[in-house]
Amino acid sequence: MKELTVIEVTKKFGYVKALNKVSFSVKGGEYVVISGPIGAGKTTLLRIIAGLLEPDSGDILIDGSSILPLAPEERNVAYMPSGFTLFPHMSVYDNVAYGLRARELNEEEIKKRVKSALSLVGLWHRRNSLPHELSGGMKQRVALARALVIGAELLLLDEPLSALDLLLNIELRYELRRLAKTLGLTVLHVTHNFEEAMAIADRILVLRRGVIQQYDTPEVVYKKPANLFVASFSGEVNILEGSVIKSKRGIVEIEVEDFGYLKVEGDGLRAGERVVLVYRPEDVIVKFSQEEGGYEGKIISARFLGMFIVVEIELPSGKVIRSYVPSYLMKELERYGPNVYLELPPDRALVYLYPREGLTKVLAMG
Amino acid sequence: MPEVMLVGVSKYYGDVVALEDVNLKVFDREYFCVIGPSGCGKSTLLKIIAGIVRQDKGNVYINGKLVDTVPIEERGVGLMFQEIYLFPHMNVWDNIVYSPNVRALDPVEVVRIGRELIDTLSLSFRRKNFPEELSLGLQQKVALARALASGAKLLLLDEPLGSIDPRSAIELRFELRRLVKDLGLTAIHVTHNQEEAMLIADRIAVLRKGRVVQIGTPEELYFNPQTPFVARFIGGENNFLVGEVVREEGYFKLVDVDGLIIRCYSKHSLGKKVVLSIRPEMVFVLNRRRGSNSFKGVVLERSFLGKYLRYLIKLENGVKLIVKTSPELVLNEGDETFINLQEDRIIVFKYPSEGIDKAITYE
Repeated sequence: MKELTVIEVTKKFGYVKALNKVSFSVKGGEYVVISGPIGAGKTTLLRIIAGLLEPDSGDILIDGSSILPLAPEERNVAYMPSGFTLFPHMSVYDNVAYGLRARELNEEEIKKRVKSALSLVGLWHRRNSLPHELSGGMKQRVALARALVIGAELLLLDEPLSALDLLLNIELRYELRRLAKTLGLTVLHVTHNFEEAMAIADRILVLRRGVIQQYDTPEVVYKKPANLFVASFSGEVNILEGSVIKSKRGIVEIEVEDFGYLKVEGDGLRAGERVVLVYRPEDVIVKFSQEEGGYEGKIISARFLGMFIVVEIELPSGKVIRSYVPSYLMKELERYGPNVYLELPPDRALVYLYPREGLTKVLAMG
Repeated sequence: MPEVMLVGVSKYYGDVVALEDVNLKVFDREYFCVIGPSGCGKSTLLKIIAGIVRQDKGNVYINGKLVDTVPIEERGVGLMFQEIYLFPHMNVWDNIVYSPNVRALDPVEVVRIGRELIDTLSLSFRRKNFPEELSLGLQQKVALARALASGAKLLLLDEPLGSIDPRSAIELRFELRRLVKDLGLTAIHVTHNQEEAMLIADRIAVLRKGRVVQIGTPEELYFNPQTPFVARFIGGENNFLVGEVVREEGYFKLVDVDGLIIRCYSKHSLGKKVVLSIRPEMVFVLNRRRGSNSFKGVVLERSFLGKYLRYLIKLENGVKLIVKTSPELVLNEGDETFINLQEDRIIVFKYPSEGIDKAITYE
């Protein structure tokens, strides 16, 4: 199993730093997803590892040795660019054999390798089919076999699922991960879709404007985002502004605009500092009586989504807060709404210092 | 009062059936979504309503008036597509009031219309920006403002959020619906994204291979899918188990799924082959066996998805079930667990004559 280490890789296009001192490592057999908005440098990073671009500085190691001096075909890395498609007029077999023929291997060796790659993805029996005779999932597996046939153990996938309709995208996520795990591959998978990243990844590397924002498990990135941008990129957020009244032993008291006084968990803040408070909609609890306290609000919309109902609640100040309520509370919503009370659990708050460059700039998806 | 009605609309491209006998009615001020897989005919449907494409059979009525021979510019529709068409050399304001219908108006009126749209769409700080200075989400809002500037009350949207990053697209769903409701418009919105449709639509038409499979509110489609395809397409991932009705037990039927006896409500009689649709979010995970529809299983896969956890659980008889639970419940891969299926949450379909795989295939 191949281990990958990226050390301080920088790449400039003109004045723009596509990658700025990017360092991280991927363990053998690990599935790492690189996620970030358009222009984050995701594709540039993959192309540098694949050997199609040279970094301005920095190094890349596979199992401890630098691969920068090696030509792309010597790196033993399989790269699947985004928008990758099969040759429509070629059979599954010929599609997979294409890369080997380009390397001028003899037909016997080619057959051996194609058979092994297609068997791995469970499609040897479809070797004579044409791409249009296959389902979306099967095509994806053939594309993977094409990448695997050269014997690479490090797989670089650039937006492998983005061309698919959402439903197929969702179903194939798990298939892709399963296959990589079964074969013991080390994978770097690029996507702008954070939900896809969460579903597949052992760890997610969040990239923005060429800089790593966070590198951790899906759970940690989602629950403890390193900064405001990651909080907003990784899922829906309610954003509140306020200033710290008191901060002591992990408890912060905040005067929050629209809400008033709020006590939450948080560290490293001082009285008087301006802060941004983030609550995920599923962490905002809707209550129907004021017994346990809570902030008064009025439901202005409730939309049924299956597993959840997404509810928008207007506060007396006019501020709108979003909450995901489990669907089994549908009846209660209808019976006791629209006047409700909001509870903001102290342990679910994400507190950040107010950004100097302003909220809009920090939250921009680009 | 835009109300849209399609009667027996069909469209063919050579041998290919794009639409076959489509009948539907969109009410005044309704937000109506048309969803289906790529190639199901949904864009063609929208183009026929707009007057961009002419149907081969059937009629289109807008406000009760037959419009089959009415050209696009006289149909009173505002159009918006996945690709964003703005004039790059014009600022936001000029783009919005560009439409010839608008320019023909009295200048005072033009300013009034422009201001109203800019306020409604919260674009006031951006009115002097050029398109390339705006995010794709904002550009699409400008395109929307321009579509509305001509005074159109019927909005036709083809994958309007398709080119926008997923996070901004979610925010725009809320804005789009609010705007249509606040302005009293009628909207017909085409998308392949069922999540988007559920959030935004009053009613949804599910299209497959050019035919309308089902029309209903999000709740109706979710709780009462008429075919296994709708059950697969709506509500996210789903489980389909094939079995046979083997016994009756009071109100219940017992269905044998590979040796696992599952109790459910069903109108299908003894000996009938059936398909059970079991939604992943409706499976309860327990720490011990409880109730008669409880089964032992082992966790094969686990993914954290923020609002929920997704597990793949292999039951005693080898059947694999996708299960979604609250993110508080934590099981690990390899853990043994129990699941419980509630009888009234299982939807039972007659086994389709073409086989289950074909019946739910995505095309």
